[in-house]
Order: sequence, then C-alpha cells, then structure tokens
Amino acid sequence: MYRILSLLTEAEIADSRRIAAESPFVDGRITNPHMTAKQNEQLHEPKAYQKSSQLLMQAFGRSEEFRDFAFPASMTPPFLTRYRPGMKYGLHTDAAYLRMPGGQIRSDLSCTIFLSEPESYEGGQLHIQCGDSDLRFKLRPGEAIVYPSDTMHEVEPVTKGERLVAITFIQSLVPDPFRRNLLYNLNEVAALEGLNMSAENFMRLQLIQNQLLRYWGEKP
Amino acid sequence: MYRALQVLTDAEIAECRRIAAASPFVDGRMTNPHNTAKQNEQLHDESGYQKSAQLLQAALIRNEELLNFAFPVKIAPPLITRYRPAMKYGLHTDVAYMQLPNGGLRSDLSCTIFLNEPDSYEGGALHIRLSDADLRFKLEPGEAIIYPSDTLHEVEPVTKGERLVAITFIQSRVQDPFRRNLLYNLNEVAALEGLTMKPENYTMLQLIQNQLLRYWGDVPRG
Repeated sequence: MYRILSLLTEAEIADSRRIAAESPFVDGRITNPHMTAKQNEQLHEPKAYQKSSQLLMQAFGRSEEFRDFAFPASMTPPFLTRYRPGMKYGLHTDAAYLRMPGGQIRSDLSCTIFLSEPESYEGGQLHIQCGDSDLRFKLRPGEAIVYPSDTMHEVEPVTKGERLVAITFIQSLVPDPFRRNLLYNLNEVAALEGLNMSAENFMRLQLIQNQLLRYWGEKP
Repeated sequence: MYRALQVLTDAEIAECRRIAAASPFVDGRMTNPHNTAKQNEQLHDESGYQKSAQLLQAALIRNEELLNFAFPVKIAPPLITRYRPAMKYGLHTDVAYMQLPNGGLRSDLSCTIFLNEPDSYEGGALHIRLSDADLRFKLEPGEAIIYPSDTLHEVEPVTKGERLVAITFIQSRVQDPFRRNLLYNLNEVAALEGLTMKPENYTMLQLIQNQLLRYWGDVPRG
C-alpha cells in the first residue's frame, strides 16, 4: 500500500531548504560505493545533518496518520538528498537491513519527503514498478510518500532545476504487509464507526484489534 | 470458547428418544476397545443409527449460530449414547483424526447434544478441565455444547436415572481456535453493526472479513 502524508509545516519546509542551501553535499555513492545506479548528492555535514534529521523526525513523531499506517518501531534519521540536472537514481531495491547510529534497522517501508515545488524542476519522479504497471510520485513540498521497501523503484533523471528531498527507512512492528494493511484498515473502520456502535460491539471490536496486534506485532 | 446452542425441536427430541427406546445398545468400548475410562452404551442398530444420525446432522447444519461459530466443513454422524447408574466416561481427550464412512475427519470441536431432562438423572455432567478451573455442563433437552476437542474432559458418574445424549465431532475450516474465535467475533460485529455503518466503511470491513477467512481457512478438498 502507498500512503501520501501531509508531513511538514511551512516553517519546517523553509528550515529544511535553508539547511540544504547552507551545507555542503557530497556524491551519494559515499554510502553505497558499489551502486552504479545512484547518481545524486547527499547532505554531508554533521551539524546540518543532525539539525535537519531532528526536525524531520519530530514531524514524523507528531503524525498520527503515519503511526496508524506504518506501526513504526524505529526509523533511520532522514537525510537530505538532491538531484541536479543529469542526476538520477536508476532502478533498484532498498537494502533489507541498514546500519544506523543506534544499531541496525530492518527496512520494511521506505519514505521520500518532497521539499521542492514540483514545478521548479523537470523529471525527478519517484517511479515504482508494479509488475506491468507503474506508479509515479512527484509531490508538493512537505508531503511524503510511504511505500514498501521491497519494490523496484527509481528516481527518474532530473533535466532542469533541482529536486530536493529527504529520505528515510522504517522498521514496522508488523513487517508482513498483508497483516499491516489489514490491521490499519480494521483500526480505521473502528475509529470511524466505533462510537456509533453499541458499547458491547465496540468493545468486542477493540478486543479483536488488540488481539491481532499482539498476535502479529513484533517485540518492540 | 464454549457455546451452548438450542439445536433440536421438541419433535426431534421425541424422535431421538423413541429411536433410542426402540433400538439395542452395546458396550461403548466396542468403538474404543482400549479406552478403559469409557463405561457407557452406544446405539447399535443400523436403521436406528442411520435415522437418528441423519436427523441430528440436519439439525446441526441448519443452525446458523453453529455455522457462524464453528465454520464446519465436516460433521461426523452423531451417535446416541446413554449412561445408566454407575456408568461414566473417565477423564480423556478426543482423538485428533477419526475414520468416517465417507473419509477422514480432523476433530477440532466436540459436541454433546443433550436429550434428557437434566432433573431426570443424577450426576452425568460433562466436566471440562481448564487446568485449575472447571466447567460443568448439564443442559436442557435439545441443547448442544460445542467445545474444543483438545480439552481434558469426562462425563461424571450417573448415580440415578438415565443420561441420554448424542455426540459428534466437527472439522472446522479454521483449525486454530484463536483465529476461529477472532473471525467469529469479527463477523458478529459486522453482522450487528454493518448496516448502520457508512457503506464504504462496511465494504472495507467486509474486505477484511474475507481476507482473514482466505488467509486462515483450510483449502477445500476435491
């Protein structure tokens, strides 16, 4: 399942852009030296990285929609990435396990947070392959797309302007996508309809929600 | 989970009693020769057995509560059993697989259908052990108790009168009791609340019900 979140405030978008504008970027291959498909640039300055990732983490932390959809157990600190004309990230899949400051994370969900106006650059869509069909995302500043880490996907070449995004990876309490989506849908129906139900039926439904989460949820 | 259901009409109760009264019974050990805990009698008459089993099976299959609760794919032909004074069926568990005329059955749920007035006999409660807690059932005529086949249980000694019951075993489409009960509860909530929901929410809930049944349900055979 694919979910678009409205994640950042105007001030946070401005802050992220300001940090990006003031900080040095390096070749994205620094974190994936053997990945020839990767042709982009990453923020590479400890203080700026810390500030921007903290800001973005806070935005995820307050997003109820994100929590409901992803059941996050942990996530990597988001980092800023940019694509200038001629850059792209060819077709690839994300690694199953990633190292991060506090240890390891299993990447169940991937997420791109868009920071530039879509009209300010050409190309640069996030293109996800679904067998014989395709999804393309080029979102408004402050919006984020959350998608399964096990898809084949690419960032199409930027031909004009600059594509500034932040990316992060999420480990879910419910790694199985079938189970996670079912639980999300069930929780949504319960949230939308629970208060119209008779008290005992709502209680019964809440029991089921908790049973499934206990049954399917991993140890935090 | 334990469910007591009214499954028989008065006419069906009377018919079962009539068949039992008119048919010969034999020692229950006939079908379990090595089970020394078993001290009861079973109906043993081709036509009486066929008639009563057919009647009882039809009654179970038309019971919507039972279908919703048990998700049955196979129900063994119910067998009329009686306990006279001093008879009992000591602590035991039911076997996992049994042979039936038309193939095998995995017993996920066991079922006792009571046929006599509870005050017409003394003792004879179905006693189910839950480790340090106990359940006892001695139901009204025509009522059935459905319980997991993997419990330790016994029929307590009858000390007076006659305990007439029919017993059967059910193979469920959803073998795992946690899953079966959860699905049952979800289906119940959907049935009770679905029509007052917004159509799109009800559709989503129905999608979830079908997803879980597909995910957890046994593959049909044949």
